[in-house]
Amino acid sequence: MQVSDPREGRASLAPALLRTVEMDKAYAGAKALSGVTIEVQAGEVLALAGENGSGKSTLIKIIAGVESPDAGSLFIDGVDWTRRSPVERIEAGVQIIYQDFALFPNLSAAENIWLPYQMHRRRRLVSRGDGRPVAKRAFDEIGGAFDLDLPVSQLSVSQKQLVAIARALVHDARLLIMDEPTTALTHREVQHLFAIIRRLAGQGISFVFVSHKLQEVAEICERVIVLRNGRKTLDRPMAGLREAEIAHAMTGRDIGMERYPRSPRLPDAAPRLAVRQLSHAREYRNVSFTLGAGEVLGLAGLLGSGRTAVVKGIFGLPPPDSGEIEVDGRPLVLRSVADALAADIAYVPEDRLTEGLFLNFSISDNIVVRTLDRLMSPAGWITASRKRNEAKRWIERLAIKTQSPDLPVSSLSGGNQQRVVLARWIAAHPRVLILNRPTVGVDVGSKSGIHDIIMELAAEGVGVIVVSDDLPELMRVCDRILVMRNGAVVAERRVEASSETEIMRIVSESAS
Amino acid sequence: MRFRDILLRHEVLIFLVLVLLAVTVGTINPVFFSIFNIFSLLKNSTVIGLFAIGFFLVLVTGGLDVSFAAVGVTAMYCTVKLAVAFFPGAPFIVLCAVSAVIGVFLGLINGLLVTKLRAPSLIVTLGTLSLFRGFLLFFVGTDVVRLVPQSINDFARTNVITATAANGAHIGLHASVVIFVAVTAGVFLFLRYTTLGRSFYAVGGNPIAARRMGMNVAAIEVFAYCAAGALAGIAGLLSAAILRLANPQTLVGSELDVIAAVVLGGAAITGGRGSVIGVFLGTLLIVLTNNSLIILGIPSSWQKVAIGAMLIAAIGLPLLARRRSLAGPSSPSEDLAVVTSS
Amino acid sequence: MRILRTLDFRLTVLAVAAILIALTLGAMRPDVFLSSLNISSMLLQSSTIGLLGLAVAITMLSGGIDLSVNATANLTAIVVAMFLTAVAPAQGSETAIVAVTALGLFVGLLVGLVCGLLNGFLIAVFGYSPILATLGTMTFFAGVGTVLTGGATLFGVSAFSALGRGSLFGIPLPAIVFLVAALVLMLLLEKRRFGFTVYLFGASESAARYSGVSARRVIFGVYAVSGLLSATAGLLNLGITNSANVDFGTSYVLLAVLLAVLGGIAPSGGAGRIAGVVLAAFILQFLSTGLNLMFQSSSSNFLKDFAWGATLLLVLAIGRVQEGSFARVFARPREPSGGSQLS
Repeated sequence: MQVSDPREGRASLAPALLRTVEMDKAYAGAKALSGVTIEVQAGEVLALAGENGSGKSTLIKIIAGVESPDAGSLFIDGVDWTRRSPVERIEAGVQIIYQDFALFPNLSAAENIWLPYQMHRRRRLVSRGDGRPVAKRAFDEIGGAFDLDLPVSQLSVSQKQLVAIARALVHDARLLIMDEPTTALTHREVQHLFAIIRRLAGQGISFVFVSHKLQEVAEICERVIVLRNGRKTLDRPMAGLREAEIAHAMTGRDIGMERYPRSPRLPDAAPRLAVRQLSHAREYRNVSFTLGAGEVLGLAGLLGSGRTAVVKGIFGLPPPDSGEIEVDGRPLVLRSVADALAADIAYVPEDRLTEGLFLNFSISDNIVVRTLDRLMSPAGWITASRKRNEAKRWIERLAIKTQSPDLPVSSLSGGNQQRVVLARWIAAHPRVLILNRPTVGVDVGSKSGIHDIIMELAAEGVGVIVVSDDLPELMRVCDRILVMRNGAVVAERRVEASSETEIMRIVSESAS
Repeated sequence: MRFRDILLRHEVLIFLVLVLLAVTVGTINPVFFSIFNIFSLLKNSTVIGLFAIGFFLVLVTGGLDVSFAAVGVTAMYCTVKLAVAFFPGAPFIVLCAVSAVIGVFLGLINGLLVTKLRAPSLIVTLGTLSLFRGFLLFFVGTDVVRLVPQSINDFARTNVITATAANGAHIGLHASVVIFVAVTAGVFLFLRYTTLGRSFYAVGGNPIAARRMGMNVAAIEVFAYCAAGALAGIAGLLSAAILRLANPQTLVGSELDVIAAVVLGGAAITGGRGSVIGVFLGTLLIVLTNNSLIILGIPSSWQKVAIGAMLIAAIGLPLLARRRSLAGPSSPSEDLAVVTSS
Repeated sequence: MRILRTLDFRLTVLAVAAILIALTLGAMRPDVFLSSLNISSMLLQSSTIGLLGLAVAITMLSGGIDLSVNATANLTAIVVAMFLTAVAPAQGSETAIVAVTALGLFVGLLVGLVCGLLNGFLIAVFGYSPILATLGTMTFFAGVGTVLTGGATLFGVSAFSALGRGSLFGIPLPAIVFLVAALVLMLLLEKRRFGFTVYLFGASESAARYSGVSARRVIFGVYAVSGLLSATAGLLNLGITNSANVDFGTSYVLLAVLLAVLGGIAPSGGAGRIAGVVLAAFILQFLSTGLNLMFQSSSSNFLKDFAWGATLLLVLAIGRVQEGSFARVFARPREPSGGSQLS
């Protein structure tokens, strides 16, 4: 693990560049941040790590001024900036580079760089003569090497990132918060980015690197801050820190996280699902695995490893370019989602708010989406009473806490909303159930409940695939875990024969 | 940029289509190439063109303003009525200014409603279209004003270039063409060289990012509607000037030509893309198409069919081009997967 | 059923408004307003525009919009008029007349179906945005109509117009057609699987796709129905006015949108009930008649334009206020998913 050189000659008595003190923030009653105090010095490269739901997004939003804290204050250069607007913070040199970069796709790279700059300088007239050299300078400084006049929509992800960084630099940024910057980058692009960061840090610019890729974090950052459930659980220099300690600070050890007892499985005639040499251009290559009836298979890997693309491919969104799929021994011709549904494959998407739920619809309506055929009278009419009865069955079975099935699903907590989506798919009696990050943004108690449901389904013979970043979760519920990297399966381990540390090590190994 | 890139730019394609159409029609009927016809074409483009530029300005920011004809006719009619009553001797430029101001006022109503009601701009401006028109015809009047101010009469006869035809008749390039060209140039400079102009594109391209960068998105949108209103006011007045009468029941109902001109010119209906040059060429294309049908002796009843077909084709081409550039099967679900996969 | 108390609230408000307006007008001019002639006339007038409103409503529910409704209606009327004139015998046995009329109806619906499928094709298969697709087809259909008529007005056939003037139990036939169509649509949307998928698709296209809803089925279905409804409006019009021309109903698209929005259909899709559209049609008709009574001049049409524009904007404003208060009650922060996604 590389360790960056400690800064020499930094005045330890100068006020920190950024300091948050006792930050509190709650959303609709749930505490996102509790008493978080952090400090960032000039020229420091800091990692902010934590699982989803740990509060790191909230903290960054508060630092950038997009949200305001319920309690606590924020100081820039020792001055209280708690109540200032995002634009003022940009002018003070504090900027976020968002995961989607917030660029204008229809404008050129150069224009994306100098337009906000000219606006902030209150220039009315824009002349390319003025703007372009500024853009070019910032661009050269970070070593960008492509045509600045290309519209941003035509750039690759790593090129867009360079544009976003250049734009920040043009504003004399002193603290750059980068939100999951290496998500879609190749290994070489990541190294290029790190070189830029090191060079800029040497000039006194600070970085807060938000990430949960431990290996990368260790490579570039001098200090690590970890949040878990809204509290700071770690704040130490990288030197001498082991990955296991960081992982422990991120995940903690929850009560009742032991493995579920696994009943010995009956030998089955044909696996529930067998995929061979599945490939899809740019996303995954030659992926093969089998899934037995009643087996729970975990799919681990970093963002960008292709896991989501593979499982979506099995669901037909879009179908793979090549390869074979068999369900219960019968070959499946997959041209669209309809074919997957006909084969009783179910997919619970990762973003339940935009991909899973119809927020303004009732809980009942959300649950019955896939079972309408069963609810129709012989003549094809859907009756409200049948819907409600069906919904009630599932509400009971999955312990969804609500006063009435007619309430809109937006009134439920995250955990209960997830159960509604699960109910919808389970009600269709699938043979194969694919869950993509099923417990993101779900509190611990609900999480356990969802795991119970998964185990019940497995006991009934459903083949379950769980895609997740939460290794303890995978260790808890899965029989086997596949690790993917760069579009290929690189390892397979039986959970009983392996350990969390081993799997984490495989997951975070960077590609050679 | 490579030659192929230049060739594929929408404006160039439109220009080529324009030239092709002109050559084809001219070959069939050389009357097309007569000075009279060309000057007449240009004159017919001015009103549509000015409306189109206004529509385009709102479109770039991501909005849709279908009330422009109602704004134009209301501004025009009120101006003429006011002028006849209070300042009949006013010079044409003053009348233009008055009409533009009324247009700005109506555009302001549009802008405020769209930004405050947060309903789709298509529906809001459908409402204001009806509102303005109803207001005009019920509260202001329905009579056609034939005794227009002298400056309008004069303007109708003003030509910037005059030529004498073989038979001795005088043919002139009408002054309104100058206004059209000047406005096109002005808007071109505005959109290219001012911060505000570039912000139009930014807001249309990614309004969330625009807000994060500190742009006042609502103010920019309102400004666009006001500018569209001003241009509509001028266009309305010009339409009256060309005919030398003010009829409050015109203009509304012929919005299609304007929208078609903008779409043909390469502007995206979703905003953020397009150029005023494209709008200019698109306008010429629409007018040329209508003109060609007449020259070729095709009954005017075919005009709508032609415009409709062209519109459908023009929308389809960029979609086809985008499809081909995406690797793999072209179904909307693929786009969805590409957008949402991590 | 669908969604929230807000919409049942909306239906109640509309019903109350309709009753209040009717009572007020009835009290002001009982001799005219409450006469059976007037009631019959109001029912008659609201039927064509009501059908167009239904057509816009169903397409709006799916998250799109159909601007070509009026053009389709006019084209249908024109084609059927031409067909009847060509085929209908001047004198004929009753069965022949009935057969020809029935055939005419069939031809009309076919025209509407074709128009609707064209829209569906452009939107579902080619990926056109509904606004642009229907804007283009609107022009195109009007153009075809212009070519067919040469700009002139065509006339219908007496047998056909008997349908337009007919009545059942004192209710004009066109009004019955409108109400039956509304009923069928209500059942389709609220009690059949297809209708459910339309609401889902309009509410969230991505969630619908992930739930296995076929986008093509929804889009083709919705625009085909819209085409059929528009064609029916055109047929009614032919029957009532005994004429067909391209320029009829230039403000009808706006009115149809107004009916849908006033009736509670969310412009972005996924919410709203057909019953609301029917009530809205009645309300608008009462207001229209009221304005006619009060102003009794030819320019009352223009006042109506003003009124409709103002009503649409007012309804949008009220909708915004409701939405605002509702959003506050049910606000949930956008939870991070996958990597931390700041929105």
